[in-house]
Amino acid sequence: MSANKVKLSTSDQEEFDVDRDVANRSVLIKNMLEDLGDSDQAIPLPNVSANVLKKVLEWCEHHKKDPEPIAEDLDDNRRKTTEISDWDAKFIQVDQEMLFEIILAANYLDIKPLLDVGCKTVANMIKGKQPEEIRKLFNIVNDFTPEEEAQIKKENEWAEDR
Amino acid sequence: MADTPAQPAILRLPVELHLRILLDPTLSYFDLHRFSRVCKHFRRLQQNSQLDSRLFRRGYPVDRKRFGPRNHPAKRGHKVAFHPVLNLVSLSRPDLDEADIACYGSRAGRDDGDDDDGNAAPRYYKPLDLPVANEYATSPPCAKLMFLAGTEPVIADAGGVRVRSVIEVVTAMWASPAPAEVQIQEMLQREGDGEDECDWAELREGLIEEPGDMSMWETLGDNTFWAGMRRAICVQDGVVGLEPNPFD
Repeated sequence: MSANKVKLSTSDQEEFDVDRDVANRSVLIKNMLEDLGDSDQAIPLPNVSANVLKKVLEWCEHHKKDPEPIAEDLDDNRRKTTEISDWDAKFIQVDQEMLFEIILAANYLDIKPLLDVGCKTVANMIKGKQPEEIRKLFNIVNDFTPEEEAQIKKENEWAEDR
Repeated sequence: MADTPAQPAILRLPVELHLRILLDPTLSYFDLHRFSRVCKHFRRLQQNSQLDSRLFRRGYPVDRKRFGPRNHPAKRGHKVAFHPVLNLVSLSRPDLDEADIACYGSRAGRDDGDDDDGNAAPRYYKPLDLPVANEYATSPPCAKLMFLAGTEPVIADAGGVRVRSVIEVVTAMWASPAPAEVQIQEMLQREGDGEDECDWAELREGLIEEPGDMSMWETLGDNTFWAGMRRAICVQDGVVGLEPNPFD
């Protein structure tokens, strides 16, 4: 295999030939490649399925020329100031199943900027919504007892419409 | 297993990723509280200590000093956030019984009290009767809150100044007589505003005969009790300075 290509193997046994600078967006893969040196062996990604990896690689391809992610200690600052770009916003318009799979994959593959896009998207979905709206949106069952719910409501009613 | 509904995708995330979402700086104190009312799992997530500073929460038991404001105080020069409830409190009179939070939203009155047009009647909540009164007044917590305009009031609590103390002390501050120069300034301003009903000569006479008639609260105008107090700086480690500014 060319030194510029990397082979990745998914949980469902599909193999992807990927440009090295695209694959390097993943800190996990980057570190593995550095440890392995030049090798034809496919890198196993047992936590990522083919359809999710395809989507993640689409993001990596678009962002392959981005500057290296900044250090973790500046992470919070970056999250404060960074809005989701138009391209990323369009990229992340997927069904919820895929959205959370992308978040899990970005976390596993250690792609911080993609993880931020995913988490921020979910935060935006929660923002300004009432509990019932959040339940409906994410298909969550209310498992509070009526007594618990009454108590929580009593304590929080003043903050309901803010 | 057709009878078993699939687990919602959001619940498949591990706690660390849920917290990463909840720590998004655009989610407000209120967003986080609403989130905790969705289900038990979300309630436990919202109670995670990583969110304490965002929720002005009693996450620093006084008996565990190494977690208390004494050792993790607001740092000089750093920004200090005020508890959002302070901005919502209003006083119809400078009296603790009158410290209210009014809710005008459609949801607040949906159970009853709707008028003929279907508009919700406002509901009033007593902040001192709610758990929110025990939360910290500032984030990070401070051991002392002082007013920079004068020497009083100073609110001190080595375990962290709470919302309750601030409401009590600020209400008492508004109930206190305004200094004579403030009263004159206020009257001049009213005259300048051209209020017809203000008999200036009578007021001036009244002031001279009975200085101290006007309380600080009467200088508030239409503002809530926290009006003008958003400008806060951390004047030294653990001490937050406030500039009451009722004359804006």
